[in-house]
Amino acid sequence: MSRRSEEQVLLRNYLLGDLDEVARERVEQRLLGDDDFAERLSEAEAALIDDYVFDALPAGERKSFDENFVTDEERRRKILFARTLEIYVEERHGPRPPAREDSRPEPPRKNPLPFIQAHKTWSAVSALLILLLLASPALLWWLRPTDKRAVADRRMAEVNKRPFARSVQDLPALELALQDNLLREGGGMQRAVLADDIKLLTLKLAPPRKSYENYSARVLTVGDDELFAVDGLTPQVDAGVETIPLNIPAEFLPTDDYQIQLRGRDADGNPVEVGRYKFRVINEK
Amino acid sequence: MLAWLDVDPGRAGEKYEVIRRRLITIFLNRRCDEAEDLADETINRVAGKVAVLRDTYVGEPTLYFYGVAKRVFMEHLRRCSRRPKPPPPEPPRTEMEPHLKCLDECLEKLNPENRQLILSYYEGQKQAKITSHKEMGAVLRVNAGALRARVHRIRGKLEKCVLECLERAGESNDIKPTTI
Repeated sequence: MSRRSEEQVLLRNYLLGDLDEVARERVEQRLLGDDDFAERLSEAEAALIDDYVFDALPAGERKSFDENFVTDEERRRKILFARTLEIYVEERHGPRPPAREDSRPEPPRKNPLPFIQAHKTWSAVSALLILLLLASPALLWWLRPTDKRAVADRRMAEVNKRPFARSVQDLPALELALQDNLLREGGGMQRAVLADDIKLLTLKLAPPRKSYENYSARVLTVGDDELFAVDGLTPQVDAGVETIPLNIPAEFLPTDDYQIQLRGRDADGNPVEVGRYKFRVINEK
Repeated sequence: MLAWLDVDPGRAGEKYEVIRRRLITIFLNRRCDEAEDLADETINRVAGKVAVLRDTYVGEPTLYFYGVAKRVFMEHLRRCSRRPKPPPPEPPRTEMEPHLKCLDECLEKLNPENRQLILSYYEGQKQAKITSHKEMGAVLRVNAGALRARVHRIRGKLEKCVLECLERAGESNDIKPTTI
């Protein structure tokens, strides 16, 4: 949060309903008669809405915002407009890829022909190996299992197997903490922007009130269609906070809204829903 | 009463509208139901006293309006304990489409500099945006407050344009606007 002048703090607290009566009356008197002051109040309102939409409000201000700010339809509309603008920029004018840091000129290429002519056998074997390597994706595709769902479930099991494999831990990942929808106070949907280099989305699910030894997770569309699922999820403690990590390969998540249905098992071994977590993905691939 | 606000009728009318709007804002911030009614009641009471005020009152008229507004507020205290609603949840993606389409059209109407400014202002993610605003301010050689003021003006125009676009779309049924 940027440093603010005293007046900006005063206006922000007025908008959040956090002023005492004397201070509030001073603001209101000035508001009625001072056009510049009224304009600054309007800017302060927009800045507050921006900070809310950007998730940049400290906890105390967030609480006051949730409880006091939306006094009328106009403010509601302004919040939604700010969100629309943010979504527009994310989806249609996403961040540009970072510029290349290495600006050294490429070395000049050498002519390979004399070398090949001097080493014909070796060159032929190498060419064959290169052809096989190039053809292997096609071969693997031809030999692929045709059941997409089985492939997805298998991949989900791979990236979620506990303890996490080194290869999984080394994947470029984006983390997103999610609360159960029923427990989450107000606010919008959590959002994950998957840049081109991100291979994994790691959702850190807040554990349910009643804990289980392990959990299964179904990844659903907002219409409750199941996309894929994984079992054997266990909580982890990181910096004193317990969460249930769920890894999802980025390529499984095109831009859309999703929900995670978390399930435990009751005494009879039947699955029971213990939490539902909604999130939005913006996939820039 | 208009003459009391300003000798010029045009300016007097504008001042009247401004005072009324700001009284509504004050009553809304005080969580009053029917803020418009309370603002109108305030204005009516002042209008009823203008004949006397014109000859006796010395000072800024808006301060007198504020004094009356406070009395109106105290008399209608029971109507001023409304609990504000929580912030609106994010609407489903499909409902955002008409808004995004109108935003597209409206951004095209901005001059390139303002368009780039507002798009850059909203680029990046979450907390990173706050940092990038400082950098933008440095590039444009304006402080954060001036940058915010400029963006605020551009955004105000955009918001008005989008609203008008959605209304037009509602009339033509080309885009189905959603009241959100």
